[in-house]
Amino acid sequence: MTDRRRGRRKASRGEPRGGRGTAPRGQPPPATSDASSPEAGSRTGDRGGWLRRALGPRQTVVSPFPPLAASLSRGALGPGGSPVVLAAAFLGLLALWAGFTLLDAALSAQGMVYVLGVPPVHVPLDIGVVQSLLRTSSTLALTSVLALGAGRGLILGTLAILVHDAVRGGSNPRAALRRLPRVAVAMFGIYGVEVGLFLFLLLFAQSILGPAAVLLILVLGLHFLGFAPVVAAAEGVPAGAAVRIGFRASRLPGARHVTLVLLYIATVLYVGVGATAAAGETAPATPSVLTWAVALLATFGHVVMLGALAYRWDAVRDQVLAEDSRRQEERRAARGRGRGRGTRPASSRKTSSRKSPPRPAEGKASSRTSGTTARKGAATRTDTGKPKDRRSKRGKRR
Amino acid sequence: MVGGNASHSGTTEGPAPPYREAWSISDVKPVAGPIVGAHVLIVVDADRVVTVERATGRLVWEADREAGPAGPGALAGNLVIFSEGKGRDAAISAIRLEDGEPAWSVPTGARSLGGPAVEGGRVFVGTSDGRVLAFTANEGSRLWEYRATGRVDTSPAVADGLVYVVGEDLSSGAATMYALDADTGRERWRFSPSGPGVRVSSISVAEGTAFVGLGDFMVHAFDAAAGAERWQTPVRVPFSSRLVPAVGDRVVLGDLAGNLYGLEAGSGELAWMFRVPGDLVLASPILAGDWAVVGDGGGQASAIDLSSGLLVWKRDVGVGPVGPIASDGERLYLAVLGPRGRLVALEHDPQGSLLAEPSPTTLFVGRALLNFAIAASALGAALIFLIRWLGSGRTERESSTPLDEEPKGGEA
Repeated sequence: MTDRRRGRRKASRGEPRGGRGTAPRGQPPPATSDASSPEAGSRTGDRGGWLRRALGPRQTVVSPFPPLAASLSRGALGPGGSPVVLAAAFLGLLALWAGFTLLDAALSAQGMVYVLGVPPVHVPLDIGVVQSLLRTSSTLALTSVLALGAGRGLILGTLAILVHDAVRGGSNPRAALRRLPRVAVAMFGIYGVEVGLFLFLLLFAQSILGPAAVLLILVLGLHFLGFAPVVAAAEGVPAGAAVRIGFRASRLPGARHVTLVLLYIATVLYVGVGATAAAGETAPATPSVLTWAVALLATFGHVVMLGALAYRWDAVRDQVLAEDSRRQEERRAARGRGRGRGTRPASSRKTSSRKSPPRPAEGKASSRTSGTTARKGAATRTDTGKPKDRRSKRGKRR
Repeated sequence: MVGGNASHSGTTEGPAPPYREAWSISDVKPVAGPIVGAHVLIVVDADRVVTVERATGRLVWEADREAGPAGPGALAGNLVIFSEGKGRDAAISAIRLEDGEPAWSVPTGARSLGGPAVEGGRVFVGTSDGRVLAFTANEGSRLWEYRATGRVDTSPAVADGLVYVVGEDLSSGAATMYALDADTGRERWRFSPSGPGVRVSSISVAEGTAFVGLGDFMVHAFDAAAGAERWQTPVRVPFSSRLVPAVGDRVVLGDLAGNLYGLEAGSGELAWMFRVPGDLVLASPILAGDWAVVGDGGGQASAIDLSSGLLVWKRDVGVGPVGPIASDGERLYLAVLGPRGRLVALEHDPQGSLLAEPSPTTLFVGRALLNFAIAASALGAALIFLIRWLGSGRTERESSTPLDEEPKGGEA
């Protein structure tokens, strides 16, 4: 009797209608019943219009993402317990500190807290450095921004791959890192998108909101683009596809994603302000042990956030990729219809009809139900959820 | 007057550091730095002008003043010249040094933040509506008026028959430095940096060279008579109009963020840079012998060795920003500004010892890496141990939970 009561209580505390929402280490999290059902995550199921939705009875929207505590604990337990991930993160912080110092922009204690944040948390810092360099030489500023982007791509790419691998219980980081060149290029692209969007939005928002604009843009940027680095690392897709798919993932219903984003931003800002209070506005160019410790602890926090995003991405991956594939197909079909109605010269039509547009990688991935990859040669997930390298499998067959 | 004289050189013979407090008084609330008169200090208070004895800090007399922003006052013979009032009611006034009785007052129509400069029986002020005004010192009769572009919040510097001011046009972001004929107010030359230039320092003139920090992140040196640029040196952060370069063999100038630059006066080459803890918005350095002494926005006074750029002495003198420092050669006089302000006199301390601290902006790579290694290894080990311990507890719970929850009697 006691056991049964306890069992019921535990079940109710976990994921509603979908079990606990977490998975044993090394396995992808189970999709919740809401996520796997056809209606789940759909905002278009109710066609009554916004007025009817607003006035009508409230519907409980269940997020397909795992709960906050489960995501954070998995984000902490997987990558946090891995010496390789921690070493990569800590060395990444050291590398960025060295880079900023070389650019004659020694980081303050607050800057060291933000410098390895999940994008776009570090974007204002980078823009500040480039602005100061622009005063000296535009060539130097351009070179520096490219170098900074490349360095960030490499560091974030390494971290995202290792964190995602650790969240999935992978035990061979060296094999996972074979994807680094491709992922680093994607990260560079994502970085460019984030910097561009940040500057563009700041231009408009700052005149209306003043300093609060930066905060708003950070929250929006992390909300809509936070998944992009994880998607690039997990699926090996290029920057554009990673941003698009990450954006789709961020738009899944429920408040769990925005809660995670707000919690992360609030924590990072709080730690940053605390670091400033402890070390002063003008922190010395030679960081003390305490300054390093605070910065490293903040870096661990960034790794946990990345891990939480990776865990959540695994939970919604199939649903998002399927949705993305469907949208892409629709778009292609619409484009095809538009082309059919068009009045292009026959010669050009002939040329274009000869070449069928290349099918995007993620489209291939989503055409399968589960345990598939987004690209050729990528680590694939088997039915047991363990990653497997398709190329090595092929080699064995031969 | 700002910088100790009309050309703002900001130099004095001494005293040498280390310093000790000679006296301090808290019943004045200065809004600008003190000026040194014969046996007395003159301080512009929030709503008074106060004179105190230099030797003891005892109050001599006080005179009413219309409340409003002000720069340091100036002495013209036996008259104390200061600005008072706000907005259109702003004025330049003179009182007698002996007893504080009013001598004359002329409306300026706009505030004068930089304070007056006095040279050759004439008073020069810049106003926030972009005018440069000249009056006779004994009667306050207007001599001439020049209209600059933007506001003139810098204190006019006067040397060799020329008056130097900077106009800041906030709408366009442009700044223009003007050299005007002190007799007629006619423009002799002007300089405007390309691009945004606002957030400028005041101007100092020494040995035929005018020094100024402009918002193009540069310190400029010009031939004071002809306006030809001699050199320019980049800095990290722009300036405040209250900041006045101090000029000796080296030009010492602070920026808004608290960086103090020591530049070779002849070439502009950066000899050293020292970052003080607070900002340098309201402060200006003074050169006392071989040392630069400056108070910062955090209430600390610091003395920097002019040759090495090392900090040799520091002391917290109050809660609030420290204004420009004045000296009579025997003591330094510091005004802590604001509602919790006070006036402090420092003198040489023969028993004290000197420091030799490098600037916090100096990077010691080896020490930084060692600190990183200590922090990273300790924190990394602690995190891995903690997380693995938590993880093992969690795994045990997960593996035991299904057995506990196994329903009995075929409920599955």
